[in-house]
Amino acid sequence: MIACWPVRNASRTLFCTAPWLLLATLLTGCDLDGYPEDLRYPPRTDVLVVDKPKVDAPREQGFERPGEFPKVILAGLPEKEKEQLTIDPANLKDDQRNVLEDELTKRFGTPAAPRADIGDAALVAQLKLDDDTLRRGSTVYRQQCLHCHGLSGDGRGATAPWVNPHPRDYRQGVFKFTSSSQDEGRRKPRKEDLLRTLREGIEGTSMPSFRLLPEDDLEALASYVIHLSMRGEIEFQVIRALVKGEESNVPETISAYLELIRGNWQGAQTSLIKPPTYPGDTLKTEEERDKYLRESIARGLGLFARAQAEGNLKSAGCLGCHSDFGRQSAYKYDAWGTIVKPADLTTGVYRGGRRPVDLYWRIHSGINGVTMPASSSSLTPEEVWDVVNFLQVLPYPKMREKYGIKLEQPPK
Amino acid sequence: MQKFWSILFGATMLAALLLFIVAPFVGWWLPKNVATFGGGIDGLYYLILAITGFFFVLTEAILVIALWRFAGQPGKKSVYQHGNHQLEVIWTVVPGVILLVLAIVQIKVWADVKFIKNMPKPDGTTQQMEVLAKQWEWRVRYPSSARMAEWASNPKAAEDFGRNPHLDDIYLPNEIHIWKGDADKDNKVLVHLKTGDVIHSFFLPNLRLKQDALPGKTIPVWFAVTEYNLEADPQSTEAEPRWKEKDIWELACAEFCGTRHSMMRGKLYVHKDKADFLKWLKHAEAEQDRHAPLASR
Repeated sequence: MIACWPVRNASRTLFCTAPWLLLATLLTGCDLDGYPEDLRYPPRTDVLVVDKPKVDAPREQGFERPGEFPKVILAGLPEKEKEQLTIDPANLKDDQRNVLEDELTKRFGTPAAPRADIGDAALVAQLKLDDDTLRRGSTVYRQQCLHCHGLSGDGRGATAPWVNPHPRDYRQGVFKFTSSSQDEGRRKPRKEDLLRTLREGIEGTSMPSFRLLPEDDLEALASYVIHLSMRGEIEFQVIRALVKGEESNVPETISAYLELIRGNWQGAQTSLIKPPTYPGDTLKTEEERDKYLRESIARGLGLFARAQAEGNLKSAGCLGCHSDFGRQSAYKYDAWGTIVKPADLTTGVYRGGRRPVDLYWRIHSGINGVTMPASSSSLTPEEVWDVVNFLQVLPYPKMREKYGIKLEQPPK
Repeated sequence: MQKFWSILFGATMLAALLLFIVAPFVGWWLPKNVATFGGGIDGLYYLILAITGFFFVLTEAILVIALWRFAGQPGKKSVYQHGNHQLEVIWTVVPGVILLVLAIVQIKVWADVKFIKNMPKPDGTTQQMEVLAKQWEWRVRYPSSARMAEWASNPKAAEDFGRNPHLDDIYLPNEIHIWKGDADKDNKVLVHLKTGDVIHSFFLPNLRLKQDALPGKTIPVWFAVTEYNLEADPQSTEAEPRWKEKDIWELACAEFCGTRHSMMRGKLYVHKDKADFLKWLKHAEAEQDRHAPLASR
């Protein structure tokens, strides 16, 4: 350093090192290029919740305090029941655990070099699970999603304990808001559903909109989420089967579940629920449409509010959970063991999207992983539309007035 | 070599000054102003910059000269001074007068931008939207095209937009869509600003507009633009209209609001005219339509 020589003694040390320290600080900066090459997906250590409890969460339990997640899985449930519903991966034999980890790494790669060796090239192409897309996905995931959704998609990132609802844990293979018509239990989202969640965010939660990211990056993110979900679900199912003693050969078990999960994802992509034409649309005049809407809303209120069928009037049984239109909803457990609350339908905030078709899908096939059931077997499409129409009016005071709905007199 | 520090400080200050003079010519300056009131705000900014810049250069020059002049005089005794009453009066009164002048000069600009009585009324011609800030996004609510058509014939109906959402309102995150409009006719935009959680700040650098959003309050914000930045994409079709930006105009959060504060960004899209805006709005409506043609792709 030229500037150093006229300066003497103690100030020389400071003067000579300070610029270098500053330079070093500036150059370190942030590494935005993706995960380190030697990083592995951590093996699963947290308990598996294998079934939803059949009971409501005790009311005094409430939501946990900020920072307590994930210590509070199935909080408030008696120890004995908790034991029946959970499986601890610690009970896995050491050799089984090692084989499982090796096999998963072989098939799904590492965070820096993810791959989807799932033995179905057509599905890989359809869902864009090729190496390049996944690598791009993991880089963007690291920048945008990691801090909530965690390295392995476990929903236990650094921010996760502090937000409620908690970030989704993909490793169950369950996504709440889907538009595919598969049976519950094997229902997967269409890729378009994941993309929509990325673009619109989830209103009323901490999931923001990523609408401004380039289209390619969103596509890559959705691919990577599918990758994490497949990997996590196979790990989940194999640990469950091994600890329960249903299976003992790790590679065979992996193959069996891979085939199942692959099929479910594939099935979802082509099973969009297309709601039949909205009945009000075939009407010609404004008066007819208004009359239809008025009657439809009244029918919707009836379906929503009736505790049980009366004569030929059906009940959709909504009030059982959405007590007082959702303002007094009971606490429920979901498939992840956390405590959730059926939506307050008077607020106009819809997590799964607020378009009529979003509400139609929610009512038609329920919400995966929580206690909201499908109504497709009990309600006709027209009746589902009735409930949608009613729900769309419910949050707005002037609309309620117009259509004669009174919040002050909650239906019993 | 006793003059080293004065040379170092002098050179650094000179370099900073040069950099500062060069900056506007190489694009390191304020983003383009597209607001009708932006000129007034920039004028104030330049006035304050000129005053503070002048005194900054003056005091730094005195400092450097003093360093040069009195450096390296071994054995020389310091002179102790209790103070100089006259000097103190001067350096108190001069800034006091300057502050008073600034306080008076800025009144008109501030009143134009922030006084509610100067804001556009929510009537048939004012463009309206509600912006709900939340960690970490901007959720914008627009009136539907039917609702806007109603306002044209019945301006009173536009008054309750901020308080009364309708079921056909359009909700979109992170995108502020407006049209350029004609001066004194329909170019004014009224934003009903709310926050769902903590304090955020609604900041549009190109409009020189910044307003905090406070929990529990709906704060009116207004602006009018002088240019547009959206053009029809050549690949645009009737069924799937697309646009591209001539220029990127950012929306940002200017109040630290949590870990993802820096990612809380959006964009300001200004359409050429109302017809172009309605084309976009109708497309957004189709997305919410009961037939759901777009969702059933």
